[in-house]
Amino acid sequence: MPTKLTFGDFFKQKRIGLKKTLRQFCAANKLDPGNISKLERGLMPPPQGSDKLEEYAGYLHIKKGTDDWYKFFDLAHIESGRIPKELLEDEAVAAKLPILFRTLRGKKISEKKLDELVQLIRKA
Amino acid sequence: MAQIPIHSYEDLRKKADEFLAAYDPSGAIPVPIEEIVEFDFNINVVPVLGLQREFEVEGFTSSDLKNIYVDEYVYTDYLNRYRFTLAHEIGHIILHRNLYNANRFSSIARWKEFINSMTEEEHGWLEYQGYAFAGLVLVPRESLTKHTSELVKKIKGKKISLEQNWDFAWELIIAHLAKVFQVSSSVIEKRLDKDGIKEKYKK
Repeated sequence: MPTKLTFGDFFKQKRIGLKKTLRQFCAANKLDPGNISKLERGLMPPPQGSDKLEEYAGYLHIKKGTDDWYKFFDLAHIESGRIPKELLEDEAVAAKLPILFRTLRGKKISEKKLDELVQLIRKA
Repeated sequence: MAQIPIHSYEDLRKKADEFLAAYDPSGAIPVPIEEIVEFDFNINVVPVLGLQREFEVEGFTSSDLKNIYVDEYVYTDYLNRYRFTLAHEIGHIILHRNLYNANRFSSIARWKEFINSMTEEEHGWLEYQGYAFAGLVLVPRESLTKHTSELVKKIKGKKISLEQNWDFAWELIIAHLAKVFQVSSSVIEKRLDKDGIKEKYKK
């Protein structure tokens, strides 16, 4: 079954269509890369205000009145009632954790630090 | 745990050359590693505040291979280190895919068990391979030879003796090459050394 396209997926598709990496796109438009990354990965809801959406549409070169314009706004609207998962569930966070993880000095990480890393990744 | 692969430097060079032929066929320098990660591998680059400060780690790949997490400070302020981190992580993905595929964690407890089970030696091997691969990818041999030769010619063209000003001249060459390849000077030094390029100019 095909996966449903989300606002974040569409945002990322359009950005990549411009051949801009996340860093290049955010630097060019003075956006916070951490937040845009969360938006693209569905960990942050689309903005509610149409001003902000229009601003993002402009950065993504989506022209007013085109099919992509309506799709952009429709996807944002569909997801407006969704409560974003602020924190990932245990199983989902486990998939985001590293296989290879040591400090720069090659030290093993303490149990306490491993727990802190889990918390950091939940929110990232 | 899957067996730790042991790759020689020449094996790693072959893998890096294959990687470059597939993803940087035009031989563009600096190697567009960020574009390769995001556009070709479709991996999310996720900047994380405090990764280095709290954990002394500049970046890592998630076990599902969908995200590369990078310290936000490195991501925004240190382009060379950021590029090296991406190349290093792509190295793990290319060279150690079996390890990732064999270790999908269903719980945090299982993940902790795994992390603590890896020995220093095993981890050291994997990290060495990641570092070597990153250097070979970001500084391809042919381009390094070509740019070095041009710089040596320039120095000689100014009637400066390379032999008599050996250390200073190489300091300048290395600094220039680091800018061209967008890597740190230490990466260039290692690559010049490993490929015997500097040695070639000794009379």
